[in-house]
Amino acid sequence: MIENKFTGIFRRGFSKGALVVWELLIIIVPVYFVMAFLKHTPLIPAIANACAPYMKFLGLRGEAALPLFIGFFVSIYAAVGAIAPLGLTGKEVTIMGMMITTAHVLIIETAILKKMGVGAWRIMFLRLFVAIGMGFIMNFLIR
Amino acid sequence: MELYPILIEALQGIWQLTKIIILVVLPLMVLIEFANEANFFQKIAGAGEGVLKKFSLSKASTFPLLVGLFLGFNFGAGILIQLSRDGSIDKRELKLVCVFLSLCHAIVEDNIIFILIGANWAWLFLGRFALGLIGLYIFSRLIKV
Repeated sequence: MIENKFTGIFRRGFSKGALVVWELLIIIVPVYFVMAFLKHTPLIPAIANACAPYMKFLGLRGEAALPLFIGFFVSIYAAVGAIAPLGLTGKEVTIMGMMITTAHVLIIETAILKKMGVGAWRIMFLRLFVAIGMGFIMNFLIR
Repeated sequence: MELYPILIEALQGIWQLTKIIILVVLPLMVLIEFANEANFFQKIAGAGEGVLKKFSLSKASTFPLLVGLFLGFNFGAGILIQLSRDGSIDKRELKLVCVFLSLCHAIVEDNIIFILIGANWAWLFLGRFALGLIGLYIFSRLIKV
């Protein structure tokens, strides 16, 4: 009957959704927690000051360097967990979003590309280059 | 460093983020399930063929492109590996699709999480997709074999 099919779809979607939510939170929550504490220690300001001159070109503040690297080398969700407690502006989050979605989880994805024999290293550098280029461009284009 | 207020601040932040993730992801997954039932993705695949020709890609690339675009890099790559082993796509096409997917994959799933923390959706969706297309076009000219 139509009602059964409807509830079946609903239930499937809901349970898949619950699984996805769990997978997201299991990464985001711990990283958020760690970042939320670290930001009150001298470690984050030290990294921020060191990276600030370079980050300026991308329209980002120094602290954003850490989540950026986390996004490049660890995972998107960990990066989001690290960005969220920092209180960045909309423009900054957008730039970071673009950069990280373009070049993330580089290690695993490059390994997969290597398996396909399509010039994995070149693609990896392409992504980093595009990510940094987009950060630079977007810094100009977004108010 | 006062631990207690920091803890409270962290917990509040986590709670806000969790709430918004649940409120967005659950309905979205239900929607996707409905789309699956209605064979929505197959129908878009038909429309995509004409566009693919412009980038000198064959019909065989439609499915991995869609899978990579909506489900994620790993799944798209998995399909590509299978297709290249079958001989359904040649080395050149494999490279082109890889370039596109590397720049632009999981366009819904990955971007949503950034939008939830305040990024601008237009830049992320359209910008990334445009990047993918530009990369695809440039490499379709550069790679001849």
